Amino acid sequence: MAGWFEQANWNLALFTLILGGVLLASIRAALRGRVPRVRVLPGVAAMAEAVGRAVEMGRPVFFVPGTRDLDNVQTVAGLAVLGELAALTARLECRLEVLTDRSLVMAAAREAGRAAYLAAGRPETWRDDSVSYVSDDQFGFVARVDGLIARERPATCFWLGAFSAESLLLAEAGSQIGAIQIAGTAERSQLPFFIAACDYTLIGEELFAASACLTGDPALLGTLRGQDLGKAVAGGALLLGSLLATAAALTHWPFIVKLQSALQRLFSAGGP
Amino acid sequence: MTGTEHTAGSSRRATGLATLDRRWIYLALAAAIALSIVARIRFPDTPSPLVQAAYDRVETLPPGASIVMALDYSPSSRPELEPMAFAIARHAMLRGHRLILLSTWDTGNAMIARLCTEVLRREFPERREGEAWVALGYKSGNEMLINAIRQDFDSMYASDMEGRSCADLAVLAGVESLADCTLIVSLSSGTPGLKEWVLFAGDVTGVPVVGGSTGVGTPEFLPYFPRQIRGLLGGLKGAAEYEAALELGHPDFHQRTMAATDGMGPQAVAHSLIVLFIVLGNVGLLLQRRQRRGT
Amino acid sequence: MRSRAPQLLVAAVGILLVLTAFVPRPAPGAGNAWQGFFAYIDENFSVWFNIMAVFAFGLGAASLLGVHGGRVRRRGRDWPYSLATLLAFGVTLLVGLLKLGGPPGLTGDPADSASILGRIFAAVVSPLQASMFALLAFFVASASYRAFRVRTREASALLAAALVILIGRTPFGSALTQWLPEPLAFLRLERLSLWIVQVPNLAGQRAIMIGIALGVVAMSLRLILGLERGVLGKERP
Repeated sequence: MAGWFEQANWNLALFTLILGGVLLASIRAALRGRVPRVRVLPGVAAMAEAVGRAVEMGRPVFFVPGTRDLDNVQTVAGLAVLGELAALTARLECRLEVLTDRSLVMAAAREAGRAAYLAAGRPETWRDDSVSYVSDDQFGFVARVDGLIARERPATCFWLGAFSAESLLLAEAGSQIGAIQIAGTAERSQLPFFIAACDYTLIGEELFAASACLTGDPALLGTLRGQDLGKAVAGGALLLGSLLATAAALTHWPFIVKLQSALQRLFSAGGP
Repeated sequence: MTGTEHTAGSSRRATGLATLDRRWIYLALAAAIALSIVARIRFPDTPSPLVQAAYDRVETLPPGASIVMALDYSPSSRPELEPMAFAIARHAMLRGHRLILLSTWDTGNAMIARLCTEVLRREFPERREGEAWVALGYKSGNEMLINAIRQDFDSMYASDMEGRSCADLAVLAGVESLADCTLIVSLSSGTPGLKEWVLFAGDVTGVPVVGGSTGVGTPEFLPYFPRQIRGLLGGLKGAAEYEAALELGHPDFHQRTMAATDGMGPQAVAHSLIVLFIVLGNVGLLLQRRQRRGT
Repeated sequence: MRSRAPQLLVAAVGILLVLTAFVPRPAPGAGNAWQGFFAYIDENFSVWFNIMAVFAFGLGAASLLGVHGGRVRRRGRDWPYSLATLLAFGVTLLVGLLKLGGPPGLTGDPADSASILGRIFAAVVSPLQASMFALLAFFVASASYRAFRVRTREASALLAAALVILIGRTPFGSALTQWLPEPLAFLRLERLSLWIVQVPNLAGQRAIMIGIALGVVAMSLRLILGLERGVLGKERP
């Protein structure tokens, strides 16, 4: 077994199995009709209204699926939302502009857009060039997008994916022209900028939940329940750890000290 | 002036304060920063516990210890991160450590070249390239580069930036992989960067990691301190604090440049101006509210 | 089948990459076939990704040339900007490919500081990047001015924290409250600012981090199971 399994990572394997199991069970339960009720995310609820505003104003909707490549799960989450939004812009006959800074993301975004327009029954209105590649360079990309925002004056801007320092540069440009802006990222350092400059911000995990909420797909919604159960376990472990650490520091009882260090080792990277 | 005119005037002032055109803010900020640069405003700094921990980590290593320093940034964030690289490189050279410079960013070669020219070759000519330090440079692969050199440097770096075979370099004697190094220093402004060095190198090999990040990126790394990141330099202030720590710890050594300490003056002025604008905006808002209540 | 094949590929690669975390890494030249297989995957899958990205770069370049070339041909709005983009693209590509001014040959570094590409980087790209990044200072100022208002109780707390941190991170902050006696030293602005960053902020950061980690796991599982529609251009029901 020693040659087959990295024993130092057994705790990681255990948590992976537990979390995977909980998620699969939640999906299964949702598919059997026990669909969890999900609170309304204001950012997600405002998406349709924001696209509607663009239609009324006769202006385009801008979408940027982050500034990372396709190997980043946030980019994939952004593209999943794009699929739903594209279906909406197809139905409402609204102009959609997707700007990407990676060629692979551009290719994937075109696929997602084309599929959405096909599903909406308007494949003839889809144009591949509504998804364009700008530049791999972070600030070269910003210069182009900000310039386009100033000239085209989109009614709505979506910033959904992984962003770095460009987050505020993009969101401020949108704010200057009075666009409705909906952002979402799991980059913690960029959240304050989006919150300050955008109308709605999906914080961290909400970005991953957005496509589930938009589609209402029971299987996807099931994963959200699984996530919540995972969070409950994490919260419980935090609480237990804090109580044990406090008790160990106050009493120095060997049993509690041992229990506390065992719990700490269980959650340590590189194995207990 | 009639009562109505007076009310209208103060209402305009309140609205003006609360909805100031952003171009006035830009202009005031540009003028304040330019003036403080010209006036060379400088403030003394003292190291915070986060920076002191990083400094102590380098200071207490035995001479000859091998430090891998990753310069994962681009010209845009150079003003914040380069002073950190300079100060830590100076510190390592003063303490007689060996320095291995590399990058996971394609812009890293230019950043490494500046460090070599401005600090290592100019200020420490007696500590020769290939013996005391080596510039391995950039290789593609992002996190996977870190993964690969965790096994062995040879697979990714057959030669240094000058084309010399790594097998012939004294500085790499006994250093076959990241696991053989004594310290990892990651200065980064994005991905891959400090987080990846912690997850793919520090956590796996047990080699301590010290990091530096841009000011806006620093809060993201606080959860990793002090177990996974042993010391943290946050933005220009972190760099200035490291320069201050070096000044205190090695008073005989004259730092030829102290870009972070020089930059802290204008930054302090800019912060104060932003505070002033925030206060003005709120005063305007409160005045508007009072007037609305009055009418 | 068109969307089935990519889906199967995503699932297979996803599962294999998860497994690499649980298979021991052999020392160079040692280990069994199982370990060797997973070590190979761990080291080389990202290289394959890079190779794919290089080929996809052709698509990106085609898009760039299509958008800007079309505008120049039609003399569309702002076409001179498009012409500048095309010229910059062509010149940079050419001097890089031909390694003009730098060490020649296959192994010559195209970005060598003596090469024209190296000089373009130092004289054009570098200052332009720095200028764009510097805009952040101005945008932070205007966004802070708009965002930090005493509108609600929560917004007021945010404003108070922002002010303490902004002032506490400057030497003025230290000077302003240095007079506080030792028993009240925790109220000194620089200590208060550090406390906010290291305690309430850190607690929030950790909570968000745990949520994100679980979200990433759930999203990855959805992709592996093929539940996430649209990303692979999958047909909708």
